[in-house]
Amino acid sequence: MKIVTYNVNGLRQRISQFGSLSKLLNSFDADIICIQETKLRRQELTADLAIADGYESFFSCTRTSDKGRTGYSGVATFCRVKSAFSSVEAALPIAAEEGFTGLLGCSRKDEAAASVAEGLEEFSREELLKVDSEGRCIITDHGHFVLFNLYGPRAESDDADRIQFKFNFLKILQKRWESLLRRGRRIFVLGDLNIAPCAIDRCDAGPDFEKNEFRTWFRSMLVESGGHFFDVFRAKNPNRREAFTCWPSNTGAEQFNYGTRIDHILCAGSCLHEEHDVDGHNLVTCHVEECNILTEYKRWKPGNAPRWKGGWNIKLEGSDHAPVYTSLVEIPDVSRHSTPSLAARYLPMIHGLQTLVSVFKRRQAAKQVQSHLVSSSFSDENIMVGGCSHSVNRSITNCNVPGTYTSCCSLDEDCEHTIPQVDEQSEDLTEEVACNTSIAFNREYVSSMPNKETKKRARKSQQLSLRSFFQKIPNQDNTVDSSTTDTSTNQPGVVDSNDQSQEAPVMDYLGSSPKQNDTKLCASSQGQEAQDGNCYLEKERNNVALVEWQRIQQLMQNSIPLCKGHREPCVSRVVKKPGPTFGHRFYVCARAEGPSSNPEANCGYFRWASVKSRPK
Amino acid sequence: MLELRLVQGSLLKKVLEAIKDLVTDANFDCSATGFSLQAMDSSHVALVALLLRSEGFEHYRCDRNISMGMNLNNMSKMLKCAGNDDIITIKADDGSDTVTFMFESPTQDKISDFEMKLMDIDSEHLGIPEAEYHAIVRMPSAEFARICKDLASIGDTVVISVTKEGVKFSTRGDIGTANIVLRQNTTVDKPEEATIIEMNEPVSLTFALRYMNSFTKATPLSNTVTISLSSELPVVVEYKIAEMGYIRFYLAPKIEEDEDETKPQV
Repeated sequence: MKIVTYNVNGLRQRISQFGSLSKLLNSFDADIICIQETKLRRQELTADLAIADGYESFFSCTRTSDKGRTGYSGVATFCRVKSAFSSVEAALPIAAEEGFTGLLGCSRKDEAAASVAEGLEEFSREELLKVDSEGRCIITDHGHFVLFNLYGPRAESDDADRIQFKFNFLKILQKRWESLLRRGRRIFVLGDLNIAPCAIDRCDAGPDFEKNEFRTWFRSMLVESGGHFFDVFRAKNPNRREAFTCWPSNTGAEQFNYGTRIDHILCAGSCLHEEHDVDGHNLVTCHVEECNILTEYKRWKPGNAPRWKGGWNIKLEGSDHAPVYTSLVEIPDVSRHSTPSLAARYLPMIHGLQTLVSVFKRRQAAKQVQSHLVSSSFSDENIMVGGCSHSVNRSITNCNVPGTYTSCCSLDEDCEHTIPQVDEQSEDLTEEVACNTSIAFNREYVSSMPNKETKKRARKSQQLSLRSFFQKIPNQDNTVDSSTTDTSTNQPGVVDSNDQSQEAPVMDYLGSSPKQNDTKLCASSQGQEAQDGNCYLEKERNNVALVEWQRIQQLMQNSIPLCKGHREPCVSRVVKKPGPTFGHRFYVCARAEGPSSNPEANCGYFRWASVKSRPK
Repeated sequence: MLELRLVQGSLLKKVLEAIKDLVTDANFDCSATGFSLQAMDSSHVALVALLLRSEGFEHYRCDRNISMGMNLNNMSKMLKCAGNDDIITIKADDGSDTVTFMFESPTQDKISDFEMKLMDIDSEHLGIPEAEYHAIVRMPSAEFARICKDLASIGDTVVISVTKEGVKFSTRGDIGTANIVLRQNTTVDKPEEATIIEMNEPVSLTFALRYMNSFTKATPLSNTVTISLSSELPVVVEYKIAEMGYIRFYLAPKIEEDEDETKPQV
């Protein structure tokens, strides 16, 4: 089983880089793909961004409307599965959860019913909601392990609010991990944590680098310091230097590999072997085959080289992170289960897209189906009841609460016409339900948040019967998409029309029209000279203009200062930080930043643009 | 002693809005003939030339040539404090390190004085030569602004081609291509709505849309824009300012880079 984490710096942009979501996901050839910084808002999720054939996806989008915090984070987990229903694949989650406090995913109405995840009781509801409000976590339970897809907050050293936020985020996260570990669960943590744990993980680490509170926290989580977690990359590559996963894009640092390692894969818990308590057995040694950084991965559109165009474009196109992957071995199948209701396929906005198409399908099906109507809706009900076997009453009432789920009615209507598939599906389902409840393992996890889970199940079973009906739609969507992006964009006309018309005007120019031109053009400029209408004179003047312009352009170029390191023209920037120099212009070396030992890298040249307040 | 009284104060406000994003600091030169500015953008690729002739001012007094360095952002902040109907007077004493903007409301019942610090700016006056152009397009300025804005959502550069059929603006980007063709059109009710193409030679040049879009910030100054193109010369995008002058933007064409760069990626 291969697991990948990748900070995409905008999922939409990476999809357009590859042409489609499927192509992007397939480029990893991985079973679980954890993506951070989707930069998508919930209302922007559409099938082409969320649904890919052969993958189940789980999204968390930012929910806050705080200034500067909207539409930049967001995480998504994609699981490659052969079947989303009644499958034994470990890649298909048994359960999924948005956020790590247990408070998300509950609509406002039943807030009282929303339960705080175990171990987090000491925190106030506001605190918990705050850390979960920015779309920074998706948890998927894969039976053998619980997988956290995380996008850790970034905090500037002078931003006390964000530092506090980051601190709370990590503290609450740690409690949740500890609670799971106490139950004997194994944990995988993947994502951009925005923490480089050790000096070796940072290009320009100073002497106090490791004293930072977040770096200290990170290291305290590791086995070496008595914690539970293995830093999988470090465990497999203990001494590798200059292994970086992120390079600041505003300095072009990737050119000289002048970066930091903040994208991590961590794991905790025992191995799956029976003799797991024997010395030398642990998750990393027994199950992790390799772990590496995909430095060669195409993070931006090919052909746009060179990437760092002398610093004119401060924002580099593409992702500023490299993906990190790990390969796990000996991960057995799990018991039969179906995709959890958090899956993107059940999102109302994605359903909405599909119900439109379903209208056409339904028209065809309607004729044959009438007679099955009664039996089918009956079986549907059965599933629902079966799915909520712990507490039938409550789940049914929950079902009736509209909550976030808007398309209920139309879906029910659809159900009535899906007979053949539904029957088949319902058989599978009851089987699945039986399996699920018979596994103690599973139930244990469920019990940590009973209300939510049962409600979700109820919902799931209601929707499941439709799945087979709609299964093909996303595929269609995708093919349409790729074909439109494939459309070749050749641009006729410009050249052709020029060629054709070139002859005539040139003739004109030499023949009759110069006189006309002159009077027209020179009326505005220099009337005297033009009076004689002399072709040569006019040419002469144009040559003068040409030479003059060349001189001007030369002057413009030369008025840019040269840096002292390479004698190359600098780039001009403007101070953006508030302060006494705000708005002032300055020149810096245009080269990408790199280690100071490298003479090819940015030489550090700095000069204020030649503007000074007049002395009194 | 310098004293320039501009009845239509909004013109100066619009001038500042037109150039303040392109140029951060510039010298304003005053002489007996007029109030002018010449400046480069920060990357030294584009050039702005502004002229407000002395005849356009109600009162124009300039005892000797003077050059005043101003931060355009700060100047714009001050001019924003003037009402659209206000009369603006620019005043400076010889050797002073400040300039004063005085705003008078049309009814003369409110008079504001804003004094701004001047700066020393090194700049060399570039004698911009007059030239003949292969093609000159005059068109409604709002139309040009719209075209540049639309194309910028598709691609980074615009190819402006003038043939006897008309003028074509085209771009290509990741999502596809766009072509906009304007034909000569003089049969309009209002002369400012006409599109007039004078062509001696067909010409096709490529420009960065980023710059074109900052030029179109001058659109409120004039209903029409004149685009003059020649294959060897920088393009001139000119907006006339009432009867008193112009603002001209000069931009060197982009040399076509590798095909790959503009090719759509799959």
